[in-house]
Amino acid sequence: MKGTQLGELEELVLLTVATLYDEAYGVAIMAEIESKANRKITISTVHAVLKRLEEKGFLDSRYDGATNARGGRRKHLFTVSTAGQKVLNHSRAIRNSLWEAIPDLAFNKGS
Amino acid sequence: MSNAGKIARFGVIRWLKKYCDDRLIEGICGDLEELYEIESSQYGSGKAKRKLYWRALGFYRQSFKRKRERYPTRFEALLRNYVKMTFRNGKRNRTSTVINIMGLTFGLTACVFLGQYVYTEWQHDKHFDDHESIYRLSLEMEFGDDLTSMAVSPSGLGKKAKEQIKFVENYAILRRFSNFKFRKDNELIETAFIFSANPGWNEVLNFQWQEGNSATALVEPRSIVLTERFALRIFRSSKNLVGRSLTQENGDVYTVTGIIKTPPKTSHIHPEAFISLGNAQLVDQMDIWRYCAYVKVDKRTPLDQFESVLDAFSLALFKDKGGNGRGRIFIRPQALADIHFTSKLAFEMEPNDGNTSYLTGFCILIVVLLFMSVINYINLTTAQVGQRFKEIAVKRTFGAFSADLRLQFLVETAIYVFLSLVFSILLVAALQSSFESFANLDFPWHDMLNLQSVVFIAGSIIVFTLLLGLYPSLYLSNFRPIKSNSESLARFRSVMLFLQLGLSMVVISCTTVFFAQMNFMSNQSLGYQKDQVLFIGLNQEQQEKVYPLMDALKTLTSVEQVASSYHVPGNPPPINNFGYESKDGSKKIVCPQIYVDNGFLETLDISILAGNNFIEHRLDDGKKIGVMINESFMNKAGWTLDNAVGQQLKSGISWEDRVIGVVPDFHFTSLHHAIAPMVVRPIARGHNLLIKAKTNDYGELISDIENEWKGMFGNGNVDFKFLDQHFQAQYETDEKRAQLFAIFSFLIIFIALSGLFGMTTYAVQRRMKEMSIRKIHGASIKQILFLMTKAYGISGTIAAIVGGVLSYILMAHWLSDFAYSIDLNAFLIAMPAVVMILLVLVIAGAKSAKLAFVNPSETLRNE
Repeated sequence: MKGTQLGELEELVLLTVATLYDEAYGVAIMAEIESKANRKITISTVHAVLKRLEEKGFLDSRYDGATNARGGRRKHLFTVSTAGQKVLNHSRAIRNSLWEAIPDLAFNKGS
Repeated sequence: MSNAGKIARFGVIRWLKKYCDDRLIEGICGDLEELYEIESSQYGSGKAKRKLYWRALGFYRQSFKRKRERYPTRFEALLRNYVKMTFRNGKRNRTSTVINIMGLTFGLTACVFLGQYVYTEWQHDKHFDDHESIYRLSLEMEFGDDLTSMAVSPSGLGKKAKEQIKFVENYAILRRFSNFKFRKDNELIETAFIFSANPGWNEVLNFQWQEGNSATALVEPRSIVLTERFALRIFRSSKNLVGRSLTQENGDVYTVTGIIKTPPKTSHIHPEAFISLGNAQLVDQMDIWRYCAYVKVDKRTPLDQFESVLDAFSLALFKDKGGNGRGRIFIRPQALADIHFTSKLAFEMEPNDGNTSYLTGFCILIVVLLFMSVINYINLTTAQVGQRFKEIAVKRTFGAFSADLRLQFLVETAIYVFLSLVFSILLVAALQSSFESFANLDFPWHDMLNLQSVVFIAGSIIVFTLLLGLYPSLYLSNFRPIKSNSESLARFRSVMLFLQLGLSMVVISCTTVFFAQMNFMSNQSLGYQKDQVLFIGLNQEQQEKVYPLMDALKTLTSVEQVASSYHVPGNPPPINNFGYESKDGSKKIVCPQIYVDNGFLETLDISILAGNNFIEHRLDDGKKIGVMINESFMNKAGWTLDNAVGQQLKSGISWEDRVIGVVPDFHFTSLHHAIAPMVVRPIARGHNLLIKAKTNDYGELISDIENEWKGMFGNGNVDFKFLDQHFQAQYETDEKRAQLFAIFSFLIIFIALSGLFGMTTYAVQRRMKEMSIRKIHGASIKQILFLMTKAYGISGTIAAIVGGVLSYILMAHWLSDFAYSIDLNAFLIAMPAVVMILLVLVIAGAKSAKLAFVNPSETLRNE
């Protein structure tokens, strides 16, 4: 089974899914990442990451909300699962603790 | 989903639906559709469609692939397990894996090369359409008790056969001109492969026409049809040449009327160009005996019927007696594809060096090579049984049937074969071009791309795999750990090893004898001194000035003697018939004759046994100087050294010559031909110069000759060859074959010895503890080495004896085919035997030395 570590892109996608609550599907996620993180990724990459995250248990998904623009197809909607929340919290905690551990001198050296 | 969307009709989406997982496809297609909608309103539908295609291609990844929602079947799971076990065991027993794969790879590679050689040889003349129904008509003539077979026949024979025999559909007559020179600017382009042919020759021997009309190309006199290669040599192009003209050295102008594809090397003729007959009436004349006649017969004609019809035809045509004491003439049809192998007649257009016994030899080598690697594989695999019986026992405990285990070992074998195949394909690819240039063949790969050969190759690989794997799989699958049968297995393995060693012995000693014979042939005294002799082919201008040239050359300090001749040693001389009177009436001898001048004997160090040399005579006026004969002629005629000189010889209708001298027998051509009676006739203005050097300093000699040439002809381009090298060229095909044999025999021995090495490795592993205990009880190193190598020594010795006897019989038979052969003494067989036994002992001993020096406390620590 795949590891439960979060890759950088995975974390970005997971967070985006969380921000888009209940409207998180492929195109929307791609557009959100493009506007918020100013980063272009292809739709197939988005889907691949989503699939991987779901396999790891960080995302739940369902089909809903067919529109005409999609040729009558439903959206594949994702929500962050409990495990997903946990892993996001965990990675945030690690970051925070690392940030706090940075001695003042390290970044203020020049000034 | 009432509305399937706009993109659903695109091919890429339809494929994607097949490829992607069902659970994901709706979301993916929906997203694609959405993006397509946005983009088509932005950029228009064309660009949007392109973008869609690129985007959709991004979904062809493993993670979106439709999963088969089922567990692997039992068979799949087993297969996966077999593959895994193969690699694990392979890694564990590295020695035997390497030896097995190496042996199989070398074996297969060698087979590919040998197979190519054999196949190409068999392809000779099979590129002609309907080659099965094309025959060459050779003649067998009776002269007294002699029967002379010859490839040439009267030029009218072909046409007569077509007119009078209903089977014969068409005919062709060919004559080779081996000395043609065409002018090109200031230089001369020489070719030895110009064939003159009748206008309809392409109906029988068809070539592939690039330009020109095959039916009319050789109708006009002085027409020439070029092969592409020769056209390139002359015109630097092979296109649009019809209508161009070519000037021969003597001023004759030929018109190009056609271009044909360069025919393959695999033929008994290698034409560079065809020219029309010098005289269109030749096809009706019966007195020019210089053409080879080919006929194409009706496909349904049985050969025996054709032969009997030819007999009657011949009797009607030639009667049962001719002039000069000629008796009956038999016309013998030679199947086109057989000529290369079997036809060694007088007046062949080109020497036919095909040899079916070599081909058989190569086929045997293929079988032996494969056999060796099969034995290696079987031996090494079954030797592993001790290590694998735990694996087998566990599998059995968990309910594996014998069939499963059998399959396991077959799969294992198939994996080994597959790996070796991959390696040998790489090896073949790497060595192909050097092999082709070495063996002088162009392998027709495109011929191999048909269903038949693919099936054949696949079939032989399957058979090979079964051969390798069947015994080990049967043996190992029935292996019962409790009922030990390792005894019988050991016996089986030693029988196999014995077979390998015996075969290696045969191969080694045959190769030795083979090389001894080759060496003997090239060093055999020919009856004259061919070293230190140069010869120079003269062109027409030079031939006219031959005497001033010879006089000038004779004055050089580096030159000992100069002679001119029409025939050069190493080229087959023509044959004539000579009549003489004996007390039993007039008799005939059919034998070669050479034309040489008075300096010839001295140049080649040939003595005169009786009588005198030719007198010096420089005028080409037909003065009767007399002829010399060799000893064989003298003996055959029943003369002695005392009375031979002064006898009269009669040849043809016009010559009547007195024998003025007798010379010892010498080999004018290669030792393939036995010494036969020969007549030496005088000539003025030979076509070749033979120059005997005084010293070995050829540099000085050559520069002296070039200076003379400059002085006399304005250029120093001397076309000289060393006689010994020229002579050696006759053995080139033989040497190539000998080297091929040697390489592959070496491979065979290598495979056998590597198998022995692998076996010893196992024996050493198995007997580690036994030998340690022996050491503790006081066995010396010598005793342990003796114990370990004894069995191999014994089986090696027996193999050497059996193999030696076998190869003695084989080689005695082989040598009997040669006119001149070495004495097959015991040493030639014994020496390889000793070498082989030593090799066996060294290999077994070197591996066992590890045992002899082992520290017993280390191996026995666990006990």
